[in-house]
Amino acid sequence: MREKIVEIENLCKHYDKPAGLFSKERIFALDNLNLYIKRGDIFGLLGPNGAGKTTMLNIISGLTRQSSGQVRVLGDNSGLRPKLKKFEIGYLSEENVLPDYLSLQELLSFLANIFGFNSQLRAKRIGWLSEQLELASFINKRIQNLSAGQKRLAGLACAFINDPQLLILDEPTVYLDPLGARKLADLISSFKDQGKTVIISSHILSQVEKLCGQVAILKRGKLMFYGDIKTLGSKGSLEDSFIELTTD
Amino acid sequence: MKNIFELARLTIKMSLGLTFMIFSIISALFVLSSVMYFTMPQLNRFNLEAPSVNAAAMGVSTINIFLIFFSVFFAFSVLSRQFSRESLLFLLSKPLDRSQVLLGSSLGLMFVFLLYWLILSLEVAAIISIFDKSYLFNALNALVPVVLLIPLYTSLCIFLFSLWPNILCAAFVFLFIFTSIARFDIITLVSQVNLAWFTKLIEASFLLLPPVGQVMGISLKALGLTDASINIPQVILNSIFIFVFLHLLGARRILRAFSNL
Repeated sequence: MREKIVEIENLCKHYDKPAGLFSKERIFALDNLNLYIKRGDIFGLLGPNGAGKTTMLNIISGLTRQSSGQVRVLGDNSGLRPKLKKFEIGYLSEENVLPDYLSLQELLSFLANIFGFNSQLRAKRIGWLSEQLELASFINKRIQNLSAGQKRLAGLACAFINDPQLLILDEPTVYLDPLGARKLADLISSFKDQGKTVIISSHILSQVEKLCGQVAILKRGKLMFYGDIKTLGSKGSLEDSFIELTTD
Repeated sequence: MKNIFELARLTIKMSLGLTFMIFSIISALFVLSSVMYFTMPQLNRFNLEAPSVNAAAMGVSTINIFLIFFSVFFAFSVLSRQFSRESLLFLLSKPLDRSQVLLGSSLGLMFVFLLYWLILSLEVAAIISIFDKSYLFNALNALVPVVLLIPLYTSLCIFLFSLWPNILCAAFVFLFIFTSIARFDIITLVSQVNLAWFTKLIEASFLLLPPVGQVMGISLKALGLTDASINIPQVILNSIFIFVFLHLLGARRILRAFSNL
């Protein structure tokens, strides 16, 4: 039995939005979610825009606090402080924002130092990433001079730098060309083979279908489906099921 | 601690760009104009001081005034870049916390200010040593205390950035500090036209930030331009107190504002 690497119980996240002079309207970004992700899974998080996918990923990665409920990340290490957990987590945000005044080489070196790598390990890791994501042609260029696709690859390299146990990718293939998307898919598959866990939020259903074993579909913060992707696609195509679950 | 230095290095890299170069060149040109006191002796007739005294005094005040400009307009842009939601989202997804990002930025900014002060101070020292080597020691004695203003201005920027992180605030800070420093001249000037409320306003700003005026007092005393008795250890203690106080106040507000991305 594989251990549960992420356990979510009764997770709620709400925001209070001003509605008039003295009243506030409570908006639920996430409403009473219950799910778990096992070690070695590639987990897909689907949902229309504004469903709460990014909020959920931010909570799992420790960037945002939940309003109520329990989130246990990295199984037995649940007692660790969030900062220490981040040594085991790789995170790629939806927004493609990186410190653009640095070259990619400088940025990766900075991150390697933050993760406490010695110079030998740093060079080895950057070399490996450069080879896997084909960064060599632009690794010494300033990030502000890179194309959107190259910036996305740079963001992915930053997420992979610490060889994480749990990789959280929010819309990873945005801006990537088909070749880049293929390379990323291969990298994620090899990641799974090493017994590591990946959570992907994506709008590209074919990609999710190809990579993920388990999926969750969110709609306005509510869990509409959670389980094996084969069960979801059994009544027709994944796209049909997705549309059926997410339209009013 | 290592992470704080890494973040400071990041802030320094962010800061040492074209803006830093332009600021340095413009202020270096202003400092260079103090050569006029040696090449055009008639300029010294206004206050009957020696050319080296006037040149050093001009150097010290130019550094101070440009340091204010620099800290306000430059530090605000650096802080608003570092403390944007997107930038924090990236940094905080790594094993860093908000207080480390703030401390790293503050340390990095102080280093950049120090570098700026060093460039201009070396220029003043070079000018004095070329024209009047015997006055170099006094000039250095006047330049060194200005270092105390660096942490003060940094903490003031952090505090005001936490209150109102935009350029309007920067303009307010500029007026606030400038009136604190130039209080004596302005008070004399304003009292002649009998604008008592304005004088009080300036005095109030001086009370809020006394170390700035006191630090400048040390420099003026080193140049022999004032006889006022100044307790240097007290000034250093005051500066440290204001630095820590404003830093903590600003840090508390900034960390709260970004506690939930």
